[in-house]
Amino acid sequence: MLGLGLAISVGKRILGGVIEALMSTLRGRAEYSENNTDSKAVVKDIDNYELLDKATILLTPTATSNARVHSVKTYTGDELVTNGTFDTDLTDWQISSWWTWNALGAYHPPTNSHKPLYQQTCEVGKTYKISFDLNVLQGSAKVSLGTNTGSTSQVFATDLSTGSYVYYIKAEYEYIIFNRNNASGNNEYYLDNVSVIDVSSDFDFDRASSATRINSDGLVQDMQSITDPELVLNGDFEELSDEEVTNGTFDTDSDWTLGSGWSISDGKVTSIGSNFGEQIKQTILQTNKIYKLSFDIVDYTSGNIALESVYYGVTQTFNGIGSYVAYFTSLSQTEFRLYSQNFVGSIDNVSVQQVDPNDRWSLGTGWSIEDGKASCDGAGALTSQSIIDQNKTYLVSFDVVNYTSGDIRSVFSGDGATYSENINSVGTYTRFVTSSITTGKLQFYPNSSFNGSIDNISVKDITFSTDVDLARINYDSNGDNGHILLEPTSTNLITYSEDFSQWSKEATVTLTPNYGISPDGTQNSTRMQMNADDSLYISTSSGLIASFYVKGTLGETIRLSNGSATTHTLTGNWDRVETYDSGSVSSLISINTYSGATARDIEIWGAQAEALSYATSYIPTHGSTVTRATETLTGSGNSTLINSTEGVLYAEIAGLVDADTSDRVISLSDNSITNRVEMKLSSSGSIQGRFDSASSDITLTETGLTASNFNKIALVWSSGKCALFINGVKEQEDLTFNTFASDVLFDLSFDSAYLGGSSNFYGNCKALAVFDEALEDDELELLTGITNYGSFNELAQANSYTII
Amino acid sequence: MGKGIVKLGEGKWAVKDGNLLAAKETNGRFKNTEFTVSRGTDATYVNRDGLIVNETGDDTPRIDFTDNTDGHLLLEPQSTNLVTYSEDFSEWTFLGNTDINATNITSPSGENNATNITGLNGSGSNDLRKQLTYNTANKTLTFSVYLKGSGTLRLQMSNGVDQAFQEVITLTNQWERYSVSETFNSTSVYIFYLVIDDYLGLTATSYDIWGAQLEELSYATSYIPTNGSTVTRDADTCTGAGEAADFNSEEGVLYAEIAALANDGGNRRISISDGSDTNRLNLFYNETTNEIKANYRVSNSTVVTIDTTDFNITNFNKIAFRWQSGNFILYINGENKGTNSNTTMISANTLNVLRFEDPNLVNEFYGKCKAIRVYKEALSDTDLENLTS
Repeated sequence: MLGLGLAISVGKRILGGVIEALMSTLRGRAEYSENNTDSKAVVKDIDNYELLDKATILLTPTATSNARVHSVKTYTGDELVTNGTFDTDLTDWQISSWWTWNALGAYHPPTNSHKPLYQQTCEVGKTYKISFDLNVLQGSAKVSLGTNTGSTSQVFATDLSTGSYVYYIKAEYEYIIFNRNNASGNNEYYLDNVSVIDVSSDFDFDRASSATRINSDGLVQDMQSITDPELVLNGDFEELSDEEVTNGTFDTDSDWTLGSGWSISDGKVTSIGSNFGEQIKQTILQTNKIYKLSFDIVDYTSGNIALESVYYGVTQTFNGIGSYVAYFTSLSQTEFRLYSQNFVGSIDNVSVQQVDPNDRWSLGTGWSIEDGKASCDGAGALTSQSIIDQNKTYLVSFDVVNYTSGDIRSVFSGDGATYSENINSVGTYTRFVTSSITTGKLQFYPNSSFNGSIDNISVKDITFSTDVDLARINYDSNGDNGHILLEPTSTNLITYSEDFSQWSKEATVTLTPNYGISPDGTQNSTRMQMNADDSLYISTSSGLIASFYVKGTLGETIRLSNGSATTHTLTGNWDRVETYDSGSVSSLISINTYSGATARDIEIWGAQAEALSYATSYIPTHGSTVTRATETLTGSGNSTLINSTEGVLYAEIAGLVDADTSDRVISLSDNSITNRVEMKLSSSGSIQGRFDSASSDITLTETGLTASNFNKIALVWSSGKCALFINGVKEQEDLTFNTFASDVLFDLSFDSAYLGGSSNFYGNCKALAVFDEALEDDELELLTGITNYGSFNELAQANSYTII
Repeated sequence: MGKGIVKLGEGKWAVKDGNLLAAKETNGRFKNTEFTVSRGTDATYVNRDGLIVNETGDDTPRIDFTDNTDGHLLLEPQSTNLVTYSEDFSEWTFLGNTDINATNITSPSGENNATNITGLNGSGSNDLRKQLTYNTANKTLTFSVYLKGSGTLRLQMSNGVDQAFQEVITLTNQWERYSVSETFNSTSVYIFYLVIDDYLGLTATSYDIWGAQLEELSYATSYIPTNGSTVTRDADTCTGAGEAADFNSEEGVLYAEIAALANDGGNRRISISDGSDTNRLNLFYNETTNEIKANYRVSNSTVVTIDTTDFNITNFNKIAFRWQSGNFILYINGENKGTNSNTTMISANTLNVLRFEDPNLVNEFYGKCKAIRVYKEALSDTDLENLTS
């Protein structure tokens, strides 16, 4: 059988490297792409085993978009719409006579009647990415899938106004249809750039909150920081306008107004002297803006070039051969003027660019922007644009890069109660602020006066969002081993996870906030100095597992108590320490030096207490408990990509814990309880494969493996056979399996339609694949094995043989 | 495609102390299915450069390149060189005009440690001989030695009483190993002679000599150097390759390109089994001269036997034995040498080990092996013909 996978790969190979083509296509359609090298290695391994052609779905941890996780295979990228850009006409579309072509696209003239424009693009059961642009002049548009008469049946977008739209739709009909939205009133719009692409191998992802991960730098990162942009614009003060000067290189004698004694020739402008006050100028300035000037003095005899105070408030003079940079404020001037103070010489490469051209900042008295920083020598305010919303928590950070005198403070405008502390030294400063104002701006206010410079201003909304549907690609603390992380819902019951000043402490404990670089990469760890039998503690409720990050002197010990206690030996690096109390609901979390713990000076960060038996990813809190929502990854596949009568479900996965409270399941199914292939990390700690067809229900179980380690698992089924392979070994086999009827399996999800949400797969996944044929045992041994090589010599060398 | 093939040799060899690398090749990927090798003593072999070298790893398998460039696994029985000075001929006796002319001749080992003997004139009285205190009664012995020169010489083993066995040999300008093998009668003696002489009319006047060896075998085995005492080389064993996943109990092909060390009447077997004698299949040489045999044993009952004596077993022969219900066959050198329609088969997932011996650790395969392949599917007759041609 020339399977779909094979057909695709053959096509790609003709065009070039199949893996490169797959990865490139993947990157092209994902909003976020990372971990490419490791993912490519996974794909390459499968290709080396000569199995890539047989994989109809292949997922690696590399490409995500909002609410989607993209599979490497099978995605052709083939555009299924013909003439979706309406370049010259409406060819290939079926239309009522109402629609006409226009240079702006397909034109739907005003009407309240059903006038469809439609094209056959889909196959029932497949999932499609449907995108298009609308320019709505009145009324609104509706988009649906329907029949060959243009009858709308599967409406997925209504009341659309002007904009670009993207939808992921599982097709129940074959035709995409555009028509009017409302039967009352006119609906008039232009339609353009219609695209329909088969994305049936992709997954739907959902998590109704933000979450943190370990990123590829080994740092704890809130996913919100990826999806939400930096709120402060031009926080590094490096934004410059396009070049304002015309003919700044003096290639021609044009564009400049030349005063007496000035002339342009030989690619430069020359002043012959005895012309004090004579200028070269262009009308290029806006009033009351700051500009950056740069130019070269390429010949010099005597005199000065000047920016004159009469125009720009301050006189700046330049002489001698060299390159010069200066900042000036235009005040009321619209003309840029270079002034000769009896200058004898030539200049070249004149450039003028507006600083902060988009007015990201308002400069109060004493503030200026120069050299990529904001400087102050007065008492006014430096004010951002409106970026603050009410009741959100923000992380504000900035650098004081120069300091002479006075104090500077940050504040949200109109929210005077939340001034930061007075800052009066060079350094990096961070601050968590919950805004009480409806809308606001970030301001830097001197406390009476400030003489210094600030830079790298950042404001991040760190409110644990309820809408960050971006799947997590998580890494080890060294940035290796990227994998998709799926976790259950969990609440950090500690209300101040990073601000330990909110904790209780014994008198001899000294805390220093913002002491060092924490696991999230910013300077927000807390130094904790203490004596023997000291403690820092906070009350919680319902917490079973407590955890925190700690860094201290190698070999010393620190203790974490939570009803139970764990004494941890410090490594000199950041460690996450956990202690689990199964016997009671703890009410107090304590970091202490009881029972002989030897550490006296440590850094701490990221405390967490959860009502689980194991610690999940860090959930930051800043005054209240915070809940991370459960994650689901579902809805890949269709009955073409999944061969029901025979096939393989393969995954490289690790559980979050050796034995969770429920089975953790990845399944191929008919989305009901009738037909399913389930890969389970069972609640008993075993690894299982369940093959449940209309006339067989076989569970293959393998114990003795650690489910929380990454295991390569393959379930294979065919007529009369099913088997469970783990890490290169056929662990279990049953030769009585009555296989599935054709085309009954169509859904690949990280859950069990049979067992319901309680058996969602929570764990780590480095690879997932579906093969549309029952691979040979030896191929499954390769696929799931870890010790095979590309040549006899490689095998020999890896096993310390002498090659004869 | 898709099914792995366990392979050994075919010009790809890798060894280490205790193991010989075999690999299961699946879709161009290689998995370790190594053999366990033991011997317990040093042993020599001919390396890729044609030199006789000593394998110092006690349990390192020997890949021998005698007479071929692809090499072969050499598996030999235990043997003792009864000549106490195999390279130092000053310890031997010179009769007549024979004498040592030089001792720095480049030997088959590549070292300058061979000896040049002169003084022969065809009179029959010019001997180089080694006298051993050894009772030859009912012993089968083989005397071998490396010689180089021109003309003819005589090699002789004599019990000094009533038996002397000899070979007249013609020297060449290349090092060659010459030997004489015979079984002595029941006469008990205490003095035994190895002789190299110019028996009446023989033409060699001088020769280079190195590596003398006397063994209680009907054929010469690999050279065992001595220097003052007898030395024993222990037997080679090569066992334990693979696991159940590497074999298909219900159908497959065992292919081997092998040669016997001699027609010595030994039962020299290659087996795939369940680790016991209960379920196994064999390719082997039997007691019958030049007999090549294959059998298939299920639940302690041999249900298939196919054999032939059409080939010289001391030559390398390409042999393939297919097992499949109702469709057994033995192919040798492109010829169908017999079929069997047995349908009693070993159960699935039973066979789990490949050995150069029977599974009950007897009938060791002593011989030469250029290649082994184990297929997990029953190849067609055409495929087998091509494979063995």
